[in-house]
Amino acid sequence: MIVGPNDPVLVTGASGFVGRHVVRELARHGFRHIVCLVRRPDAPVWTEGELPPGEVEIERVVADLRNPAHCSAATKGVRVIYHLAADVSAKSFAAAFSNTVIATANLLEAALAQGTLRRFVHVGSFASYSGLDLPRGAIVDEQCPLERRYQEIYSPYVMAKTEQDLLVMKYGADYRLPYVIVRPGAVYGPGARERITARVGISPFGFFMHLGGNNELPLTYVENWAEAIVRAGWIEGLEGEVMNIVDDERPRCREFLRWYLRNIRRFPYVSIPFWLTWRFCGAWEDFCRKRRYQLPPVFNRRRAAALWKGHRFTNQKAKRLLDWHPRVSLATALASYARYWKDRDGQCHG
Amino acid sequence: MGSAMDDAVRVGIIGCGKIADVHLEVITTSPVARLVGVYDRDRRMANQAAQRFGVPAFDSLERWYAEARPEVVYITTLPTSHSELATQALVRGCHVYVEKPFAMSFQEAKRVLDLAREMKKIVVCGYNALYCRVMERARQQIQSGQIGGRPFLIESYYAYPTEGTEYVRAMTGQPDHWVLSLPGGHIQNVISHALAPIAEWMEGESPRVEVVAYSSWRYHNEGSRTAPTELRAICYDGYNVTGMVVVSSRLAPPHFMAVNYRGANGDLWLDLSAQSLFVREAKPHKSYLNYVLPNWRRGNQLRREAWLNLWELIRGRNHVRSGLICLTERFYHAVRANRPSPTPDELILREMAMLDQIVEAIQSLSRGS
Repeated sequence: MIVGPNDPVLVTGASGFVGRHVVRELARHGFRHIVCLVRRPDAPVWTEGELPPGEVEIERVVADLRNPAHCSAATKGVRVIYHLAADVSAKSFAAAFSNTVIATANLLEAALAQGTLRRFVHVGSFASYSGLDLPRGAIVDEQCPLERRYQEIYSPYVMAKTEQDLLVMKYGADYRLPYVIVRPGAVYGPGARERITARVGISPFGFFMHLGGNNELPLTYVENWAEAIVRAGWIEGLEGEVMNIVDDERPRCREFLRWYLRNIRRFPYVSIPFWLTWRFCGAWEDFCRKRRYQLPPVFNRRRAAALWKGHRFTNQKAKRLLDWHPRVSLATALASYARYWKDRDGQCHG
Repeated sequence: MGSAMDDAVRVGIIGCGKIADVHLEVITTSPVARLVGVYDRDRRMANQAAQRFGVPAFDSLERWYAEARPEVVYITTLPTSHSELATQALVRGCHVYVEKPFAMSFQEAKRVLDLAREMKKIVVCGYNALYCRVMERARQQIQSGQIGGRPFLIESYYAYPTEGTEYVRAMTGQPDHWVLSLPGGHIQNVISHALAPIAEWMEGESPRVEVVAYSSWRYHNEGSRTAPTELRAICYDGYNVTGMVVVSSRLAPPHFMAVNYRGANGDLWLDLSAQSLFVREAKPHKSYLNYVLPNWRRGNQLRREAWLNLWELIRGRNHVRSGLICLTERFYHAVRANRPSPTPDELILREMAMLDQIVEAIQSLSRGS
């Protein structure tokens, strides 16, 4: 291990869906000094009493990563940084870039200036992979090209996550930043923002369009994901590695949708085959360009290829390097997921 | 044979933040303009825009002017730097587009406009809402006498939500955010949307403004410093036009914007968020018919508006940025044809005079609280 249990570790985005699980996982693995970076003073983070038994000190730091002074204060003396914070809801490219990429640059500068950093674990995303040139059925692994045509895919989130990855790599090359990048598939679990990942389908016109067909669904249960992230922070010799994290048991999109309808909530849907999705997205993209973006090109070939083309996924590298195996089985994860949404729906109706 | 692009207006942009993205999309899809370079004080912001739009980014403003050689400069930086950057661009012989608010004061605005006149250059202020389709239709109807001449009372409503939006999240996360450091807080940053439709129909250079401003409790909960979130103002031009301005964080739906032009023979209600125009004629009916006929007519008008918007959408004219596209194209046309600015100096100065009084009132209210 490159860090000891008493070394301070920093978790950015510690009050988020994944961040809270990462903090708990760190406590479970015996880390005693966890610095939780949050944006707002009232942001929920675990307190010592709520975490697995053991001596653990949770230090809450209210900071804005866009402020370099805040970054310096937050990184003081930390040995490992788990960087989960990102603006996932920015609607403009400039805001996404400023809130995510420049924020990351500030954090990196501050961490390097401290001189105590042993590992920077950066949380990336599968959204960064370009599926356009990959044939159907191809395996998406760590070697796949990244999506750089941000205007064409029309996604500030894709730009933010890809540029964030590239920035971390650049700091690795230029300043010897000891980084590891971990990229998850579709993370789900209690507390998730979306009920059904866009890989299964979307409802932009008021009804659910099932676009994922029989594609493999790269699900990553949040507890499995958190464990992989935490492991990436202490294992020696991982510097410069990029790893994809998906569970072993990966259902088909159709199976997942049927399970959801049976166990959580029923709703009508329309299944659309990929050839039709592809043509529709292409036509929409061309129409938008011709009409000077009269409509936003949210349906486009790059997005269709990335989400619905029908790729396969692997976690072999992560399993090998992190000695990680998804602890929670698909059945248990789905049961917990169903319970969460049923409780929430019950509260809403009650 | 020279290509059409040889004659394209060479456009550059200073400031690559959120609002610049909107302009960049409009500029790069314009058939008569060519984006030649972007600049931002933060090189990283310039790079991200440059990469997406395939143009060079520069690390110094001097180099940017020398190498990109823009004819038209867009200034989409912080309002505090607008007048200085506009002055630099004019001195270098460029036409200028300045985002709202045009300047920090009437005097600053006047200096820029005087210089533009001296340099024989065009200055445009980004009053894009004044050029959207429905506003153009309203202007035509007023000029054709639909409401009995010029409006004498104009109500202008502008809503911005304080919860969950990118704009507000940015501010509340940073107590030292530039918007909050404006003397008039973020109301100063957004109120031009509501003032311009009133200023357009007023006369004289300096209307009188009475202001009430306060903070709503929801905004305090966002954890930011105290700043007014609600503003009501009454403006009078000293001739015949009164304006009522409502800027609110509580009006629904989010980003609601509406203008009501009242004239002697009726009024025009414009819902800019829905792009609908609705005429209320002051035509009296007999007793109980007053409860039926006007409502019947209004229903028909709204149905017609829905069909018209659908038809315009199919024809490709109902663009979410139709106001900005129209203003931009008039600007480029003015540059090429040596015509006056689509946003007249008097309009800019009148709006700035109103804004000065509003900012002063906000400051004195803040001091008082």
